[in-house]
Order: sequence, then C-alpha cells, then structure tokens
Amino acid sequence: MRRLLALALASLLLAPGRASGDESEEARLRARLKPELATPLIEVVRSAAAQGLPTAPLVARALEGASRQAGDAAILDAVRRYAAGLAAARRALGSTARAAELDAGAGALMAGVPEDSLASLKRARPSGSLVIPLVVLSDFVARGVPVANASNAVLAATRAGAADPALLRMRERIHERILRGEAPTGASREGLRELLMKTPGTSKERGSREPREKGRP
Amino acid sequence: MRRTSIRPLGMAGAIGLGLALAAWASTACAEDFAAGPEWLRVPIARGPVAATVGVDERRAWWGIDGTVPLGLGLPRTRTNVVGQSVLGLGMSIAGSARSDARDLRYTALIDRRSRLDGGWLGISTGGNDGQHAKLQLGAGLWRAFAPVEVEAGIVSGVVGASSREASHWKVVPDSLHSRDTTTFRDVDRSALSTTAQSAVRWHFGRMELTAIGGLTVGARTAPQRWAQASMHLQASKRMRVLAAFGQRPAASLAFEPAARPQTMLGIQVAPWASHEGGAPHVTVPVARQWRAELLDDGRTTVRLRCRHASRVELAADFTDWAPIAMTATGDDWWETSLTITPGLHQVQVRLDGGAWQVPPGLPRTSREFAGDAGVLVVN
Repeated sequence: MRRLLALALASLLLAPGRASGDESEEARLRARLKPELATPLIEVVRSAAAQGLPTAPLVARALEGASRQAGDAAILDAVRRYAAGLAAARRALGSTARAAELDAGAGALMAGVPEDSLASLKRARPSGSLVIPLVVLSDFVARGVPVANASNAVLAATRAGAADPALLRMRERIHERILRGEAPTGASREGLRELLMKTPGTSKERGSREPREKGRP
Repeated sequence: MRRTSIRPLGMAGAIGLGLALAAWASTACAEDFAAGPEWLRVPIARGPVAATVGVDERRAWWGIDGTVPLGLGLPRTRTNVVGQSVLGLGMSIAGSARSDARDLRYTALIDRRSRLDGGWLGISTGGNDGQHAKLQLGAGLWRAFAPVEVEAGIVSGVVGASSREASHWKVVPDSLHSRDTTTFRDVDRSALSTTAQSAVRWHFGRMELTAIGGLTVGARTAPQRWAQASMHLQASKRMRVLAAFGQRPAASLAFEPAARPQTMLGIQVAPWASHEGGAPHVTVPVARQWRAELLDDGRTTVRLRCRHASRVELAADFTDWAPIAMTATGDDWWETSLTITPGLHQVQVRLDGGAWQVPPGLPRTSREFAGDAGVLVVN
C-alpha cells in the first residue's frame, strides 16, 4: 500500500490535472439520473470545468448520492457545495494545484478544516504535492481528532520536512493508539511527537510539545 | 383437551426487565457478537442432535431432537450464515417417565439473517406436551443489541383435541341388574390457536438468560397471558444445563424442542457439538487486510482479506458507486481487477450484505451519502 501511494505520489506530481468536464461524464450522469436532476447537475459540472476545477469528483458525488438513494435536492445541493469546496481549495492552495490536491483539499474543507490551514500547508510545502498531507488531515478529522489538533499535527509534521511515507506512518500510529482506547487528541499529539523525534533536523525538545500555528490558540 | 395452566403474573415484569436491558444494551458495542435466538442457531451451537432429560412440575421427561440444515446458500454448520437463507428440517420426540405416549414433532424452518438482525419462517406438525398440532405456522424477527437481543414472533395453528360425548344414554334393566347401554362418540374439538410472543435474551459468557412473554388466543379458550424466564448454561463442550421458571403454552413451543411449558430443570447432551465450550457463536466476517497492486496492463488489482465471509463487494467512485462482487481466491483473499484512473479515489467494501465499511488500513474520509470511505491514491 505504501509503495502504491509512493508511486501514486510521483505520478501525481507529473500528471496534469484534469480540469475540464467531458462528454463521457455527462453521459454517465444522464444514464444514471433522471433528466430533471441530470440537467442542473451538468450545468454545475460545466461551470466547474469552465473555472478550471476538476469535474470527476462532482460526478462521483452525484453518482454516490444516486446509488445510495438520496433525494434529488440533496444530491444537487451536495454537488454544488463540493464545487464550492473545490473553488475554495484552489483559493487556498493556489492556481497551480493539481486536480487530486484540489479534491483532497475540498474533502478536508468539507470535514471542517479551515481554508487557512490549507494555505498554511501550502506554505509549508510550496513545491511538493499536498495530496498525502491533506488525506492524512481528513483521516484524522474523520477519526475524531479535533480539527485544530489535526491541522496542527499535519502542519507541524510537514514543516518539519516529514515525507509522505512518514506522514502515513504517523497516521497508522495514531490510528493504532485510538483503537487501543486513547483519546484522539492525545493520540495525535503522541503520534506527532514520535514522528518529530524520528525526523532528521528536528530536535527532541521541539517534538516534545505540540507545535502551534502562528496566530492560533 | 388438556388445558395448560397459565399464570398471568410476571409478563409485565418480564417486559419491563427486557426494556431496561435493551436500553442498557443499546449503549454497548456490537462487535463480534453471536446474534440470533439460540434455538435458531441449534446446528451451530450444539451440533445436529441432542438428548435432554429433566424434571418439571409434573413429571420427569426426556427428549431427543435433531435438525438437518439444508443451506439455500452455503452449508450452515461451521460457516458464516449471514446473508444466507437456511432451511432447517427438524424432528423431535419426547416422552415422560409415567406415560408410554410419545410426542413426535416435525418442523421445517427457513432462517435468514444479517449480522445483527434476522427473521425466520416455519411450519410444524405433531405433538408437544400432549397437545397435537395438525399444522402450525410461525414467523419471527429478531434484532441484536449486544449483549442483548430482542425477538418477536407469532405462532398460529390448529391444535387438535377431541372429547367423548354420549350419543345414546340408557340403562336397561334385565333379569338380574340394570345394564348400561350408553354409547359414546368422539367429537373433534380442534381449534385455531394463535400465540404472539416477544423475548429479551441476554448473553453473558456461557450463560444465556431469556425472558419471554406473550398472549395466546384460541377459538375455544379465553385469551391467556403468560411469561417464562429461562436459563441455558453451557457446562462443557457437550453438556448444557437448562432451567425455566414460569409457564408458557405448549402451542408456543412448536419450534423450540428444548423448551418446556412448565418450570423445569434439565440437562442436555449434544454428542456432536462442534464448538469448544459450546458457546453459541455465529462467525462474523471481519475485513483484515487490504492491498492494491498495479498490473502491467494498466489495471489495478484490489485485494481484501477477510475471514468467514461468503460474499464480498466493493463500491467506489471508480465503479460509479455501483457494488461489484469480488472473487474468492483462497486463503480468505478476495480480489477484483479494475481500470482505475490516476488520482484520488474513495472506496468501500461490504461483507455478506452488511454495512459498507472502510477497507482496513486505508485513510478515512467522510462522504456525504456513503458514510466513511477509504481513500485510495492510484498511479
């Protein structure tokens, strides 16, 4: 899995983001959805494509809602909100962000992570892919780590120069701690401390306390 | 017709106790819980045949019952039964120390269950505690809130009975004495009897406690409320101690050969018990490992390792969230190969028709409609 993720990361750095809707996506929407729902959805998808946003996540959201028998209004609302999330992710991550980064960023925003945290992550890793940090951040939030703690943990690890495999290992350690019964907050703090102690260029003293983003409580 | 004595007292208490236990249990974790009424899990819990001896309020009694499971999917014994419909054909014979009469009963039960709930449908004919049922139909539902489960069911059937009535009464005097020339005829008193019942069952280690109560309505009898508490203790792999306190009508026992209509104490021996300690445990499939491998042809093989599963499905954004069946490849591994475009993907798996879940080891993300999903990054 780690090898796959590493390979994926390399390819994602090279692969251009697909930022336009295509006819096959519209055809899939028309095939699976009622015309009265497919038509406004396609408008949202086309609008996103015109803005240079990735459209595949929007189509996936719509089909996800359809497969789980969600109501038309709920599907349309969810797709619109995710399109807004993609736009917000691009604002935070910059216009050069890849499609997968925007998708991961929108997912984090939907989970409650503020735009500021995404922008801070971008500043911490200006040239590298943020897919894995954002995936790890969303994972922490989904596992019950408070948003502020999750953001600080990922941001501190990224600022310390932790590579993606190290971030994934930290995620696994924190997950194990939570499964053992530790509180998510404490588990994330300990997981970060372990990572920082093993990351070259960071002192043990720095890793002994949870770093805080400037200007944040 | 022999009428079973029913004590109306106790049902309110049993129901109250059940509600309290259910409320308490609703906060408990339901992981790896052996679900379903014990009498439905007979072939799994204690093997296909069991012999029981005991004493009740009236007499000593014995019984032998056997069940042959015919899987409408996979064989029932020692396999996961979640999502499968299983037809169980049963036969039981019972007798008492003071009578040569034998109660012989045949049953056929269809049992279908998911991980934490299920239902059953049955048909039965034969005797039970002296009452002969021409035909009985039963159906029920159960739901588990580990370690407690709640069950509700209804059993309806024609209970056979006959009485002798004098058709001609006369005493004829002859030369020395009077002679009784009365003649009798058998009158069929068979009547429809319906029992609605509910039970709360509590699993505690090797012990299973049950509070069951109900209402029996018969065409020729007044409505009868009844309640009974029972305890099954797995003393060893092959032996169980059974105890019951309270009354329940024989008409409600059509599908539970080990149950008795009166307060009783008994021992059941199952020579072919299949589980160490005999604890009735349904194997619950659990996903343990996930792998994704890139193939030379550009497709990606996703593999999932899970024990005791008989059906594994995958749904993801790259399947347009339509479930696709994975193929068993041995050693508890299931796999499927798909063309997955590079990028970020969300994926879920489902075992034996249960809830969709995050594949083990994958980062988690919350989805608006699908719940939590695993994140897969593909080259």
